[in-house]
Amino acid sequence: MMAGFPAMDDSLARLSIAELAPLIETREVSPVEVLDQLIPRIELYQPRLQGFILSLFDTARESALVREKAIGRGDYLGVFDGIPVAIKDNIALAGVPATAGARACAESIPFEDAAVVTRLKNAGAILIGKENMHEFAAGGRSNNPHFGVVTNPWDETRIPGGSSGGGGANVAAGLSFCSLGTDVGGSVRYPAHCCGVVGMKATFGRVSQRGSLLTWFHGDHIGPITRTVKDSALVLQLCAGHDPRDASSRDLPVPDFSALLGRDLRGIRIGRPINFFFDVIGDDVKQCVNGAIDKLCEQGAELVDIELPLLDYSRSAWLVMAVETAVTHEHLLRERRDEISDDLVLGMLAGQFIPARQYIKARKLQRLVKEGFAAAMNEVDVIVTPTSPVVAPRIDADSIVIGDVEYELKLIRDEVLGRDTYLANLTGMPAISIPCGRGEGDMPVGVQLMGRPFEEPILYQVAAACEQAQPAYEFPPLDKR
Amino acid sequence: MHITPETLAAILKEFGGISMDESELARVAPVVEAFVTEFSRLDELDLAEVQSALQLRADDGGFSGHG
Repeated sequence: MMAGFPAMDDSLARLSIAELAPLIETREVSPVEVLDQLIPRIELYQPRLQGFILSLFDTARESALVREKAIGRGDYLGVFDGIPVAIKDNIALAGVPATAGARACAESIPFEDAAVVTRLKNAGAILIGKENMHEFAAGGRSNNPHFGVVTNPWDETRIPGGSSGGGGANVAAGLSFCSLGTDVGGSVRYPAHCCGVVGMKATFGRVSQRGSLLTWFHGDHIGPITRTVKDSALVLQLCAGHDPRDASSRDLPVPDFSALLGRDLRGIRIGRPINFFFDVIGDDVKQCVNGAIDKLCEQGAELVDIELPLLDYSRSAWLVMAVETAVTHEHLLRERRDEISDDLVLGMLAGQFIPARQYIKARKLQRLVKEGFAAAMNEVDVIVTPTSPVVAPRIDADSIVIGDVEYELKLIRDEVLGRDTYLANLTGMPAISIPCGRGEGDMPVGVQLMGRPFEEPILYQVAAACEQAQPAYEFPPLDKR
Repeated sequence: MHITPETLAAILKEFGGISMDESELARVAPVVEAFVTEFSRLDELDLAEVQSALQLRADDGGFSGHG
């Protein structure tokens, strides 16, 4: 039995999607059996991890039974048929509350599934729950005051990251095979870094946003959190595609995201920025990320140093999201302000005072930043950076020290934790975080890869090579504490 | 630049917006000041000839037959 699991039989729960799917297809395993292992595991660890806001076990069991019978008749829908998945609680599931982690939205019940949820259901996936998150997806710690503080399965005194912290924790702990999260500044990738799993934000426009509670219409993304790169590619394959009802959705062919997995890296150029990303970084994270880069080079990649202009100004272009947040949540701010956490309310209200002149300048800067990245991507195929400067901080930390500098962990958009991830939202480029080692406190460290728009297969190729150079996935030893 | 609660109150009075009480104005003022200070750095850049990242293309909004 793999370390990290109690005496209960949960051998199925620790498989990847790619490993489990053939067993379901050939009827060696029933979707019902999978749930019979998964649900007790969730019930055992949920009180500690707080990864779910709402469990859907009854409907999940019904769905699993339906799929079991259908598969038995030969009606197998594909890779996701019978696979339990979870979704972040700001993604709509019809008839089920979508709280966005906020008490102010506790009675919000969508009448229609999100576009990605429709795809999951049509593929036979079993929805097991709505996942906990940072309130309104407005932070990186998932210390939700209304639905429970999500903890990191590797060290329950630390954050799982955010805002998709429930997804990161659940996938890492083997409580879900996949989570769909949202990412407006790193909220899929940062939990992946903190929890030692894979988090993917595809190109803006690759996956429909319809049905998620959006904060920023120009940078919000729905993306998968999985235990393996292969699983990530499979989930993205399912979710990607044009949605005529989402203005941001691009009508472009969807490639086979798994096509390049396993190929060596000869001919691949890896760009390592000489500015910004490695300027603020813990020694442990730096060592892990540089080690990952070395391993990519050993597999044939060519390393190219690149410089990206204007990044020291770039935060402005992301912070102006505060204006859009104020507008998006205006009705709540007017009517249910007392139900929103104080620190979030302050940030939201502040957004209404940002001068239009500065907003327009920030949007112009955004174009220049995008052009800077585009120029770099003419020279390289993938840019490699840390996902975050430090490993997951302690839940009660008010600040962290990197080198000789103390960084306050501001409750409104933690400045330092997300400094390496928001640029992919600003530019719309695809970006993925993959585990690359362990840092302080034996906590996971992620390396981030950024690719050219709509060239996710190359990104996955390099991500798979990075994964291959690491030990096989290991579950956190939850039962040993 | 120092942003005062009185400044914010005057803005709300003259231009409208989401109403706030005195306590909220006092607590939001430093946040606004931090934002504005950060954004003021953009004045160091010549952005006059730069197009905005926000563009509504001519074939957007349904002309393509979608949406």
